[in-house]
This record gives sequence, C-alpha cells and structure tokens, in this order.
Amino acid sequence: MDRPYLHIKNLKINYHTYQGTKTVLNVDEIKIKKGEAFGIIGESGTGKTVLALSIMKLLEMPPGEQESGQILLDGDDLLKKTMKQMEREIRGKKVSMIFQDPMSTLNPVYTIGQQLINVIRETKKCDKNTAYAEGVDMLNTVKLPDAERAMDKYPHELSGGQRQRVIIALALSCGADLLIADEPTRNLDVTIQAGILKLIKELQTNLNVTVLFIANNPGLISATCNDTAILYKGEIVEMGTTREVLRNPQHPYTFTMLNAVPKDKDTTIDLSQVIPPDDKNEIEGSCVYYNRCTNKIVKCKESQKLVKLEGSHYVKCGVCSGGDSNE
Amino acid sequence: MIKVLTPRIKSTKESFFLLRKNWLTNLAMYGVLLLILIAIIVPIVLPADIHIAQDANPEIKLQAPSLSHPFGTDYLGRDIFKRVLLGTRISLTTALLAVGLALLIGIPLGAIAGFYGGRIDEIIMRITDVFLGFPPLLLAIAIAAFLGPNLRNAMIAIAAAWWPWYTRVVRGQAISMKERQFVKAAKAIGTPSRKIIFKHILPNCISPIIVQASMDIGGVILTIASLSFLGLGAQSPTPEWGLMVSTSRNYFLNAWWYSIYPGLAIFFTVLVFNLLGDGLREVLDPKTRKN
Repeated sequence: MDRPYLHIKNLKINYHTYQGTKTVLNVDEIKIKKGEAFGIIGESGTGKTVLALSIMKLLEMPPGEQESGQILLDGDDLLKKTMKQMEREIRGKKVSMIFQDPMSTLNPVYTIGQQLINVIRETKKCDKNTAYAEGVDMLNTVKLPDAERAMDKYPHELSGGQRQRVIIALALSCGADLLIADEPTRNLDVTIQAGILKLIKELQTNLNVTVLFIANNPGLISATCNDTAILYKGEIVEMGTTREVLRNPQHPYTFTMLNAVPKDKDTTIDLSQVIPPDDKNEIEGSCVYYNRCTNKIVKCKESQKLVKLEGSHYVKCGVCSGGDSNE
Repeated sequence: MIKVLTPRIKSTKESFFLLRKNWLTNLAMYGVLLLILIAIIVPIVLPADIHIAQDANPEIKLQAPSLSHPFGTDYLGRDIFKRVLLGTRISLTTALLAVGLALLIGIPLGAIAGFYGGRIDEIIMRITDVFLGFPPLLLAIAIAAFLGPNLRNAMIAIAAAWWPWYTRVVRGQAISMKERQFVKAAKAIGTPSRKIIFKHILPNCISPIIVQASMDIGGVILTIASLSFLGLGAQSPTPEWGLMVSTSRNYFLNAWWYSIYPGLAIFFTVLVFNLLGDGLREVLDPKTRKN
C-alpha cells in the first residue's frame, strides 16, 4: 500500500484555561491519499478548525498545547518543524488553506490583481507581466467571470462568492499540493455553494490536489469527498468512505446528525438530541457521546476505541462494537 | 423603491471630494497650498541674506508698516515682510522633517510592538511611556539644550519628543489588524512576518497616521518657534518666526509690528494645518464620514 500523503497520528491538543486543562482535539488517525478529498464533519466547537490550524502550525500555542502525536506530510513530521521552516517549506509551498470567512480574508487596501501578482511572483519568481497573465488564467480557472476587470477591483467591490473564488485562486496559485478548505462555503448562498463545491471537486481531479474539506453540513461532504470522518468533541467517532458513513451510519451521533437534516414539512426533529448538553455533568473517562446518547450501555462509561467494522469503516461506540444493550 | 446606482468614484477621489465639501477644510487646503507655494517660490525670487550687512539698513530701522515695507522694518532696518515670507520655508521644512523623522522612528516600532506582542511589545511600550512621561515641550527643550542650540538639533529634539504618539497609534491599529483573517491567510500561504508587517498591516494603519501627522505639523511648527524663542532653535540671522518674535521683545512697546507679523504667520500656519487635520479626520474616520 502506498504511503498516505497526509497522515495524522494520535494528535492530542489541549487548551490551558483558568478552569483547568481541556482536551480540544484527540484524533487517533487520519490518512489521506494523494489527490483525494477527505471530509471532516462536526458541529461547531468540535475542533475542526483547530485541526486545520494545527496542520498549518498556525494555532496560537499558549493557550493551546500539543500533548502528543504526529502530523506526517509526505513522511515529514510537521510538528517537529520550526516556524522558519514552516514559512519556507510548508505554508504556501505544500499546504495552503481557504479560510471560513471570505469577507475578511482579502486585504482591503490592495486590488485583487496586486494580491494575486504578489503571491505568484513570490512562488514562481517571474516578472510582473507573466504574473499578471498567470493571475488572469487563475481567475479563469476558478470561473470568475470577467477576470481581466476583476484584477483591477478592490475586495469590497466583489460579492462573497466572487471573493471566495479569488481566495481559492490565491490558495492555488502558490502551487500547494494540499488544500485545507475550512468551511469554504460558509456565508454563501446555495447556488454559489454548489459552484464552489464543483470547483473544488474539479480542481482536485484536474490538478491532483489533495483536499481536506471541513464542513458542518453532511450534504456538502457527500458531494465532494471520497472519505469522511465525523468529529465530535475533538474525537473521531466514525470514519470511512463517504458512502459507508452517510448511507450506513453506525454511531448514534452520525445518526442524529443525518436525521436533523429537514426532509419534508411533516418530519419533526427531537431537538433534545440535537442540542448539546452541558459539559458539567460529564462522567470522567466515559465515551465522549455518553451524555447525549439514547442507547447507552454500561460499557459506555469507559472510554471507547476506534474499532474497525468492515472495509475502511471505523466507529467509536460501545454498542456498535459489539456490546450488549442491557441497560 | 428603486435605488439609483451612482457611478463609483475611486476612493481617493471620493475622499478628496468629501474633503472639499467642508468649506473650512477647503479653505485650510488653500491655505496650506499658499504656504507651500510661498515656501517654494519666495526664496528663489528673493534670495536670503547671507550676511546681515547685505540687508541691514540702520537708516530705516524700526519703521512702521508702509507701502514700501508692508510689515515694517526691524531693529536693523530689514524688511519684516520679506523675512516672514522667507521664514515659511524654514518652518515648513523643519516641521515636515521633524514629523517625518518621528514617523520613521514611531511607525516601525509601533508595528513591531503590535504585531509581535508579548515581551517585545512590553519593552517598546514602556520606553514610549518614559518619553510620554515628560511634557513634550519640556523634553524637546532638554534634548535641544543637551545637543546644542541650532535648528537641526531642535528638529531632532522634536522628533525625539514626538515619536511615542505615532508608536501608540500604530500599535493599536496593528493589534486589531493582526487578528484579521487576511493576516492569517497571508501567514497560511507562507508570507514572512516582515512582509506581513510592511505589506499588510502598515497600509491598513495609514489613515490614522495621516490624520495624526497633519494635526501634528501645526504643533511642531509652534514648538520649533517656541524653541527658537527660547534661543534653543534657529540662531540669528536666520529668518525664523520664533526667533523674530524673540528678538522683537525688546522693541515691543514702540514697534508692535515687529512681533505681531511673525506671530500672525505662526498663528496662520498652525491654524491651517490643524483645520486640515480636522477635516482629514472627519473624512478618513468611518464614524464621522458623511456621504
């Protein structure tokens, strides 16, 4: 089997707060093959962005702290690199990132063209005219209409979707192999969402870019990704090919989440399961989902391991991994 | 209701347009323009007197304003009108250089303090606190006295007393800018910190700096005049306004024009720059900007 392009092992990140240390991310294993798209789904506050930022090593280190683990990019451990090395070798060279909020990711004082040309000249070391042509090309690649004119515009003159395209163009023009898309379609309306998704998919297949796609909507993932992991409170609760996870969900959380998608006007959703309960009455060392779980058993009071079901489908649940429902 | 879309004016043009809509600011702009023109043209048309003797004419000393000498003459019989006009260049250039020097020190330090934070921030800001602890005029007097009395040293003294303000303004801006998404995005594509500071953070801090600097030019002109008045700035026979007011003290009771006209020149210049600064702030600050 060939080596995965991005391999995250036992990554554990803690936050030190005044209330004590809190584990925000505890990922057992994520493997992404070259040229594939991997989706991460989870509700807000589960640590999706923390994961993305720790790959880039952009996480604020106090209060954050990495307790253990490795992030291997093509065999190199990113966490062992110094900030200088990250700047020179990784960020923008091998990994780049699309941020959540397209409205504030572009510098308001420069035109789109200036920003693109800067990035292109930095990576390709070419002269201004070549960079300009390349920039226009890039904007055409991301299907921004009227690319020539957009080069002279300032970010505030573009709509959210247009800006998001520019950001993708920027992220791509530095020639990175791994693109981390952190909720790239947030704040965008549905038609533009579809366009952006299609674009990312196309880029992934045409340019052989590896994509780590972060979203809080299973629908987006199903459209773009080969493999999917469900993140809950910083832990992977279910992982497998997108088809396996979404068609045949095993973990109760995946179940609830998929059920929460409104289907028709008659379905009612039991919100008590959708709304996260208080952290306070959590039982020390129990399964992360214990408080919200409806079919918990005695075994669930212990912490659970990611168990392989069939093929590449993993799940972290006491019931699914063969416990008796005797509670 | 149909909203008619008006053609967009480029933002600098728009700012300029808004600036001119306020008649006071408009007037101030003409005033500044006039001063700049005087500063450029007058020394070419009327070369400055190198030796006192050239211009001095004791026969007509301390004459009241007349047609041939609109502002009167001084104790050596020199034409005050000419000297006031010649002083414009000195005051404007020293003020611009002093503010420029203060900006040159203050801006990078502020950006570094704001961007890196932590210990570096703490050190730089405590140094500014030391400088801010003194009243600026007093500090400038102390430095000028220490360096020795001449115009260049007065300029350095003023810059040394003024830079902490710019550091504070820029630091505040830099702190708010560094949390912006585009700075993070720039980091994410591997932009080195130095480049982030100069290409992303500073251009976004520029408008409060412009406002602060244009307001300060007035204050700096006044301080230069004060230093010269105290004998710590320009030295005779330089046609510097503060120095002229200073030498006129002895003749004030019988020759009012001697001190009034250089004083008016200082007053006018300071007023015009302050009005311009006010207008700029109104336009560049989104809170007070009226479209």
